Amino acid sequence: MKQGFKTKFLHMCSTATKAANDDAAGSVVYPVSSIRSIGMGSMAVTGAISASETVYHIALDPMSISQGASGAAAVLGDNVDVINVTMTTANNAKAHMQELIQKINSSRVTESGWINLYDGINATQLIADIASVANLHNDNS
Amino acid sequence: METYLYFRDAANAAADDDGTEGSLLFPISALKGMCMGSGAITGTITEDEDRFAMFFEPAGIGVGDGDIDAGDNDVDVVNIDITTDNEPQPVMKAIVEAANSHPNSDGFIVIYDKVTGESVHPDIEGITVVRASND
Repeated sequence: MKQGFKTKFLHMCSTATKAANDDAAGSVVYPVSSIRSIGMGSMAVTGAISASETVYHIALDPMSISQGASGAAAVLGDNVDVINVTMTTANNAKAHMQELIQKINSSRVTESGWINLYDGINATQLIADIASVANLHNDNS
Repeated sequence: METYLYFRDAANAAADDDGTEGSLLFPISALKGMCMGSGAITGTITEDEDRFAMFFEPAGIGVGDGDIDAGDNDVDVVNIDITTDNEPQPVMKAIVEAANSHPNSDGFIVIYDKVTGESVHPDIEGITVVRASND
């Protein structure tokens, strides 16, 4: 591992109250290597995208389905996890994408590798223009 | 160098003898994500105020297209029990920070060891390991 290279992880928590932080709608963490793509519009776990001027999606390798094998539940097994990010400013995804990628690729030694994209409980976010996030968690059941 | 995460849920050294309570090591590259709630090998999350799940690529399922069944998509899970309800963020962050502690570590990161009492964060009070296999 090169010095200064971090294994970075994205944290998202869509809930607004601490008491609700108890399932997949609460705190979730993904390695940035799980990001498959980021694109405009709202995405479902099936990959279907609905047009939206204020929502972009982060498509991720599902944390709860193995990549190593292709099980018989082919439809579910091919689904993805998704973080849909709602912006305050319409049609502003490019600025968000650029800021996120800069953070992912930052090599400042003082950074721990933890990237807090959005935390609704603590009202903290990486990008001020993020209004909310929604986590779509996929599983193999 | 790759960082490895170590877990042990055995009550004592003599009980360190199996795949769920015994010594277990995953490379950080096998960590697929962490999620609040209790995780099953199928990926199902059950609401839980004082537990979060760490999902890993399964150690006991190969990458080939052998006798294909739905279970091939299962994952390994380490459920982390925390003392403070509904507040996993500090523990999750401590795990990420420890994984990135190179060059100030040897790459062997103890997340929880019940035998020695070590843990990566003081809020961790226990773990439960569930393993997928190619049965």
